[in-house]
Amino acid sequence: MSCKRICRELLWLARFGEFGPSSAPHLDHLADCGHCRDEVGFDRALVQQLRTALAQRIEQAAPSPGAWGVILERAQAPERGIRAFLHGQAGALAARLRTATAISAMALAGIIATSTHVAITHPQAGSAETEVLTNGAGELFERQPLVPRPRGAAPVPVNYVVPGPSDPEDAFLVSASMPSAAPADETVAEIVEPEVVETSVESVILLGGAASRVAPLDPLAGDPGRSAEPREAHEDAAAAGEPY
Amino acid sequence: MEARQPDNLVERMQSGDLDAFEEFFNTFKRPVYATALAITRDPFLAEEVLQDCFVKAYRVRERLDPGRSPLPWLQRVTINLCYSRVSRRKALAEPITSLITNLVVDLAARPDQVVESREVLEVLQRGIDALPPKQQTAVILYYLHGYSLAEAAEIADCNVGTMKSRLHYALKALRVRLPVERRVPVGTAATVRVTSR
Repeated sequence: MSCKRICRELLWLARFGEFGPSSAPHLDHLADCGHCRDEVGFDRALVQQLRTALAQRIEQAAPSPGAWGVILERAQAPERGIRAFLHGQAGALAARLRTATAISAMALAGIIATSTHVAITHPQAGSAETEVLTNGAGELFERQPLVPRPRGAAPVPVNYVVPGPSDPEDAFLVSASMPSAAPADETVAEIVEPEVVETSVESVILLGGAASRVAPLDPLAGDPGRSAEPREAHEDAAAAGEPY
Repeated sequence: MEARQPDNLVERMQSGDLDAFEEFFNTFKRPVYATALAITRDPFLAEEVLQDCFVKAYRVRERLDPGRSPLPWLQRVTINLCYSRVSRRKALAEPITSLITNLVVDLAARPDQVVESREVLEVLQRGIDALPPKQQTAVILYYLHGYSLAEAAEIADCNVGTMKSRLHYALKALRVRLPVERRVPVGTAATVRVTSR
């Protein structure tokens, strides 16, 4: 065994007074090793100092003479019953709920007050319909009024700004066709989005026989000038079920 | 360090005899107060703990075992009350304590500071304060009250091996706080033991 390990075991044995017949090797080592003797000796001195330090903490320690009176009074006082306990808890809970409700209401009011649409733009962009304000950080921002969009109104035309043609001749033709207020270098064209027309295509695919037959719906079926008789289906080059 | 319990004290207290309760208090107040004071180091707080402990003992007197000493139970209640109170104040007290501890250690590390028993005791007091609660309890029960390992283990609600381990680590932590210069050369006791074989 190494000296370090023997020293550790010696400390353990000495601290708890567990020296016995099996401790003979440790004691033999202790007789020869000055380092281990120092360590064990220091440990004993430490324990002595520790006892002194602990005794210092409680020297002349005695409870005050009035302690018994207080204890007797408290011991004889009626214990708080379960109802009193629940009443106290309910009171505390109600107080906390009141506080929580007040905080929630204030927070909700704050959210509502600040939930207007705020768009931060350049201060020069302010118009008659908008209001330019200054926030706490000294930045200018523009607050746009909330105007409800009328329901069922016609689609609003969308203006697209497109660059002018690079060819000078084309540019001359475009600028001549536009009103004079339009700038020379860019062209504003008004494009009205076409209404979306729902269309449907019905088709019938006939499978079977030697070849598939496709009979498209005749778009002129309702035309009195045309014959309503179904035309003869032509034969497809590809067989049914074959890839195209 | 066992406070002798008069005969039938707990039984008389259980029957509602207030004189028996006073006798009970006078019998056990010192060890309980000593434990509270050793942990808290505050006489006022220790007295509060003492009051709480005995009020609780009176209220649960029906559950006390008349055949056994109530002291381990009282000590356990005291220790729990102490640490529940100390932990409330710990947030305030800890930075100052650690600051002082560091100062003491720094001063102690200087070679020109001569070994003085009083300073060693100061370092040890700080070291005891800095121990974890379980190790602190073990040190107080074993080295202050002089309980046996088994008794201390019963109070601390652990087994004997755990108690030994806590004491071992507590001493190890205290050793590192003492600088080498302050190690009192006491090797004679061990030598005497060897030569007497």
